[in-house]
Amino acid sequence: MLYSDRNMKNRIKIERAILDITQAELAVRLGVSRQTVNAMEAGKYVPSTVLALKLAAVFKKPVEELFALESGD
Amino acid sequence: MKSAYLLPFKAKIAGLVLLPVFAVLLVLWLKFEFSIPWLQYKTLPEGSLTHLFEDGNLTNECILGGLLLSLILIAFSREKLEDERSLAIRLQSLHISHYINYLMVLLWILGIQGLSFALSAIMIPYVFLMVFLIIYYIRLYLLPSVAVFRS
Repeated sequence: MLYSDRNMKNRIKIERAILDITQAELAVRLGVSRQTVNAMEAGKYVPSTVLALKLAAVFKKPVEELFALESGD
Repeated sequence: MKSAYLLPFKAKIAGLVLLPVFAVLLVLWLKFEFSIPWLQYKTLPEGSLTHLFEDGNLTNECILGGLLLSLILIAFSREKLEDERSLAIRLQSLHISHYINYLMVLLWILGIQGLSFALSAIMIPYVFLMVFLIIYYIRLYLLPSVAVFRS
């Protein structure tokens, strides 16, 4: 099965704005590249479970609050 | 994230240094067909089967070997920051370049006959690696807005 941006939405950009950190700062905290953070925010890359849990830990929010399936999936 | 079967990032640097050197040497060799004296070796006696294909010098073999090695070093070493997205792009790029490679082989089989086919077949791994590198780096750095799928 393929996962694409079309069936997953996320709140990474909003949560990052609340924390007032840049994409580069978030990338350092997650141990990924800035391009990966950018792609996730733009919905162009769906992260793995490990990365999703790291995001949840950074934002101190449950994973299901950060990511949601779009209607129809 | 750990990435199995990839060389360290330093190997990429080595590959990037070696590639232009061997590329220039290849262009010079194709133009002038020079041979380095200390790469001379003793050929089999005249009349033997392999004698037809031997030139008694390893210059071109060393250049082609070095070129392949440098492409391998660049293609199969880690990025400075290798993460799961770059691994996903790497996998997809390998997938696409395999399709292109097989299509190219098919065209070569149909279009090139005889000894020319054997000679042109030498190019297959080089073209495969170059196509892979082009697709991988374009997707990694130049097209961040293209969706990356994970299976």
